[in-house]
Amino acid sequence: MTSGRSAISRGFRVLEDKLLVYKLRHGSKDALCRIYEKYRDDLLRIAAGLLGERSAAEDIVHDTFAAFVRTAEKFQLTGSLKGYLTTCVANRARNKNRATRRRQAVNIDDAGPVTSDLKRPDQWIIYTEDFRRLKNAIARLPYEQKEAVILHIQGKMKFKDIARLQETSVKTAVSRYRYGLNKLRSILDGEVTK
Amino acid sequence: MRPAENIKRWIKNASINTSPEVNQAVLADLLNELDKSKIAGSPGTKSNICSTLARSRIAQLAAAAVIIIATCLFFMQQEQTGEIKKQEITQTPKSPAELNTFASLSFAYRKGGIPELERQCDKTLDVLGPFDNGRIRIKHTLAQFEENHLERTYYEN
Repeated sequence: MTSGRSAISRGFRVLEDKLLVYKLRHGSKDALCRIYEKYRDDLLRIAAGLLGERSAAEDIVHDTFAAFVRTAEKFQLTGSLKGYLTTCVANRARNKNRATRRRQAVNIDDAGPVTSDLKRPDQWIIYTEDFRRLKNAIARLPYEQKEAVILHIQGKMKFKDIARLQETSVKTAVSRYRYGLNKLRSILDGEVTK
Repeated sequence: MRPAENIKRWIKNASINTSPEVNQAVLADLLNELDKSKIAGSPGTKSNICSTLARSRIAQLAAAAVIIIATCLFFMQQEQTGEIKKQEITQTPKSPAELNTFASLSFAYRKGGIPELERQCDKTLDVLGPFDNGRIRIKHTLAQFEENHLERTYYEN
């Protein structure tokens, strides 16, 4: 019964997304507002979880929405809109992470400006205490494990899609998720025992 | 140790808040972007056949089918016109003996008398068709034959 209800609600969501994309393709501002309101928080949460850096996460989500608007005219929705936007955010976060790692490998003199995580007046994301703890714990995981955990739990992505995104097998994606979850559990338990 | 389900629930419920001012500012920026893309993309809003074909698999198959059918029809037509031309060529008289001339008729008469002459007339009729939309008769042919013969003897004399 519950699975039937959730299937129906998922169907409605997909239908609504298709309608919104159709309207957006025809230049509807209301459709854009609705898409933005609907997925903004989830995308920001995923980006912040993946990168652990507030300003980078904000930039990525802004850029994802901007790119989506620019290409909306030719956009064809084949799956779920949330899945599409989440994949865009994950790809951008991955590129950003690679660039950051590369920057860390070069000399400190050549490195660009380091973004601060302190509170700014134009700050978009405001962390809750729970999220701050999660962010600090998850920052200690390897990137692939972090990605698998966040995309599966927060992004509600299937392991098949995560595997495609990580260019690996489904088995590897599942084991990355399990390892990540176990590590996270031990980190949090360590925090509690302290 | 915390059970995995608790950790999952905790991750799922760990939420963030967003600044309403920045939300509005970003939305305004996106709306501006939408306006810009509308202005830039207005001529492209007309359906482009090439892009439709490139995107849709059904359209690709339909286009391929149309091209194949058109090619087949073209070749069939070419073949038919070739046959007609061939027929036209075969219908042209092969030798002067098949023409309804004084010489051919006299040759036919000398060869086999009236039956041969009649056959010659039929052959001529097959090739050239009847004149005056009516049936050609042997009588007329003979009359014409006689007339031609008289003319010829007159000029000879």
